[in-house]
Amino acid sequence: MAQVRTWEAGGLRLYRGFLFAYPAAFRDEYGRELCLAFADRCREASSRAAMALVWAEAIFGILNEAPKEHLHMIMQDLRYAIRILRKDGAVTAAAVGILALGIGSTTLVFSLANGLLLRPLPYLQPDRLVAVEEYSHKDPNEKGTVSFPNYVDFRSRMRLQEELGVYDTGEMSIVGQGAAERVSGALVSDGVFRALGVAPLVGRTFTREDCLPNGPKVVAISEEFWERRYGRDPNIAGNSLDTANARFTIIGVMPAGFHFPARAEIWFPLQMDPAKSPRTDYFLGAIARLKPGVSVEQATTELQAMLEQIHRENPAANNGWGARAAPIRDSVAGSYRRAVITLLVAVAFLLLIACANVSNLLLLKASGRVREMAVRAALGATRTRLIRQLVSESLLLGAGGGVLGVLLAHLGIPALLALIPVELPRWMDFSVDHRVLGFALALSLLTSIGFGIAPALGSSGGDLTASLKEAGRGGTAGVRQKLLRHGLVVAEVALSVTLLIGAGLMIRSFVALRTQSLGYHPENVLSLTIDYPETRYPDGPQARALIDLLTREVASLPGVISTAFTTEPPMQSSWTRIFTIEGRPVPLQDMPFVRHLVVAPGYFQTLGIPLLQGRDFTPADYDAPHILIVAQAFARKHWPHESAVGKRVRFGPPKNNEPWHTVVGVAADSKQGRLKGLDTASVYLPYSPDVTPHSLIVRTSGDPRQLVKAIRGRIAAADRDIAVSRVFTLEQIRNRVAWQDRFFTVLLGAFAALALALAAVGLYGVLSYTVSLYTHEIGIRMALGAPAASVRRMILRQGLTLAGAGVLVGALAALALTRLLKSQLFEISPMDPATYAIALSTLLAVAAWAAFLPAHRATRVDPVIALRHE
Amino acid sequence: MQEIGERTGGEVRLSPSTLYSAIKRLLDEGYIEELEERPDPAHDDERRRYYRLTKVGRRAAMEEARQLEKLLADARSTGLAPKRV
Repeated sequence: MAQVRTWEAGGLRLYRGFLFAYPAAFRDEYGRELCLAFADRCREASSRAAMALVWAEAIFGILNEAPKEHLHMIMQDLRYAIRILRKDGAVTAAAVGILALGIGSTTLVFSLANGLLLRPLPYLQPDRLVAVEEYSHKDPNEKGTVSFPNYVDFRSRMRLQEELGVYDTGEMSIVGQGAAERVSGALVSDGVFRALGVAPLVGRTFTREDCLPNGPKVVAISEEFWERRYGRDPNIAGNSLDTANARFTIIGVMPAGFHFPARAEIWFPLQMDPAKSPRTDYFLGAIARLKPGVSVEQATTELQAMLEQIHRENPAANNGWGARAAPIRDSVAGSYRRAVITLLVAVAFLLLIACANVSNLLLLKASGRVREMAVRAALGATRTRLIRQLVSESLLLGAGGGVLGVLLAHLGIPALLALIPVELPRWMDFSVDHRVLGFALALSLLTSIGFGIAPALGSSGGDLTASLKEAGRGGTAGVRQKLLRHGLVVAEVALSVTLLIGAGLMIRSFVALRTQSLGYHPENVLSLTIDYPETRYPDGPQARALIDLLTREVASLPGVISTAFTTEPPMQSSWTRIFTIEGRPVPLQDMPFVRHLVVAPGYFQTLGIPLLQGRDFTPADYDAPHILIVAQAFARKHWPHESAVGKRVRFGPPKNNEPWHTVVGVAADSKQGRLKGLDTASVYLPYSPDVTPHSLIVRTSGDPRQLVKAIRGRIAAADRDIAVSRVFTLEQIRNRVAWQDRFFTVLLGAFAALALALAAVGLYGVLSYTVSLYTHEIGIRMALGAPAASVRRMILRQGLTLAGAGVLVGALAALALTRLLKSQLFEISPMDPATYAIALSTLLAVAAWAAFLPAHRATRVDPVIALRHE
Repeated sequence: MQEIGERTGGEVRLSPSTLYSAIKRLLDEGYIEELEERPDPAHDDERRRYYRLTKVGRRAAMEEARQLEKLLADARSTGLAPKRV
């Protein structure tokens, strides 16, 4: 008998354990009854089989019912939460709105990060793709390219790379078969398509034979191009494609969506002779597919070893450069990484401010709900239950904010992309995908917990009796709650100060970038790229005659002041060369670079670059071109104590023995290359039979865009096979080259403005609440004769103390964090005192205003009413 | 539980968990209410809890019965169920 009882007790204990599957409330209410009923059944069971049936039924019942009870309770919580949220419509709308802004902004920046850094690149096994780069140890961060002879040697010696290909990008004019158009194209070696792992949709890609010097004139086209120009003609292979210069045979169509590099739609075989290309002429992009299991580091080691061997075999080309492999993602998106991370940090701050704001809003509401909570607790609701209730409300708010936020991000992306004036590579895709949605969902959940936890713990705890007693007076918040509220406001202010300082630095940097002296007047200047059939106008007299004709024709248009040709328009020059000053030979690895432009007479006059010494180029220099004009910085650096005029310079590697060029003039410094960062000085050579410049610069008396049509007309009249492209004013070029800075500044500025507004609202809310809490006290003070000014001072002091504390913390955080911005700042220190002063005083001014309104309201408290309120 | 089993000829076996979940839901919906007064201690069992139908509960049950009756009538008229003799 005793044995049976022990069994029974053990079974009951086990059953009681199973009951923990139910919600606590249900267990508390019916646990005893369930146990009794179970015990009854056990006792009635006459056999082992009957006992087994009782157990099976019990366990099945629990498994079946417990989840339903949980769900039921959650639904009940949610229904109640919806009721509460609807009752407080204004607070709910404000909270959802603030959360939507925070989650929306964060999701927006995340979709940028996703498109640039996370979304897999649209190539086969992209993790095995690397960019192969040669680089100078003097400037190792510069994105590297390779020289053609070195590529050929790498290709024949490599062991760890499965495929290696090189490419060069450009734009081509397509004529014949429909309207002439300008398309992005590339010259590629046969290895490029194999390295990328892409097979043609139709026909074939290039073979090694296609890529030999003087190889066949063949071309591969993209699927879009095939569709657009050939209406998906299935017999496309063998058709011809005409560029301004030659006729090519189409051999293949690449699959839909394939573009490499960047936006290329047509591909020509790169047909170069390694014997005729200098080893130190680095201009080809290179891409390799690593063999499975090979790391980027191993590939770099092999490349470096191969390059050292090449240098030993070709001592004349040994300039001490290095070679490396870089993950393809770093190569194409690495330059954006820092900016994206900075934006993520900034937007995280904004999100935290939004959370603090909503948290405070809920805390204020919660202090008004102390009584409700106390009543519910008195009626038997457990603390867990109350917290669950409050968390349900937070989750609902978070979900609302999340849905609206994703919508905002979805709508914001096109607006954001509209800020970008250049064509982005095709692989960049910023749309909302599963990763962005997952992120937004996680964010909504996290923020719900983030802003909901403080109010939940704050208002569900505390002393019941005290709450009920005080409830008669409308509920007074405890010291802890007050501290929490004030802490949140201080945090909000601190975060927005940090953001304001960051945005301020970027704005000042951007203004400096935009207002820096370019060394010429960019207003009313147009730049156009001229593309003429080189077969009909080879370098030499024919090309010269054409250039001179176009210059004359365009210059004779009414409204045109002057025109000139150059190799590259201002701010876009990328042609640099190594050089030797006569009498000062240096070894190859130490030779410096100089920016190298070839210009026609009238160039300096058209741009407005003053000549400081010597003379300008004249038409007669065409036939005696071994002269140059140097920029002042170049003259100062190399001949600091004497005139540069008459000195001689030679370009290229020492062994190349190019002719000496004599300096005939010194021009004022001007921005020819990048707008920020180190820019090398420029030298200018006259156009000659060796080099024909293709960029036309036109200075006009009015808006140059009005003249584009007339200029195109004159050029077409000269020869209708000339394609005109890249028509931009210098102002447009300035916007294009500075777009990343502008984009970044606009986003950071918008985040800072939002943060400032949210912080002001937060401060205002807390102070308004304080005033309403102390209406009674203020009434007594005023009844006792306290002047309105002292009451106002009291509230203002509280507001400014909170703001001051926030400003202090924020400034310290900014000192540590703005270092992130350092690489993006132009001519301004991350600790720029003026920016700090402006940001801090802006915030204090806004805080004072946010505090003044409630302070002013406090002075209008009528003592009689306030006391009667009691 | 026993009574339900007997009334349905053993077709419906109600486990305690199903019963108490049902009771809780009926309480939540306001169809039944728990009685505070208990019967004479001589006839009481301390383990028992007493509930009774509320007005709403009675109306809901009657409405449910009417629905079933109508359904049955429809079934009879279409020959899906045997006609009453």
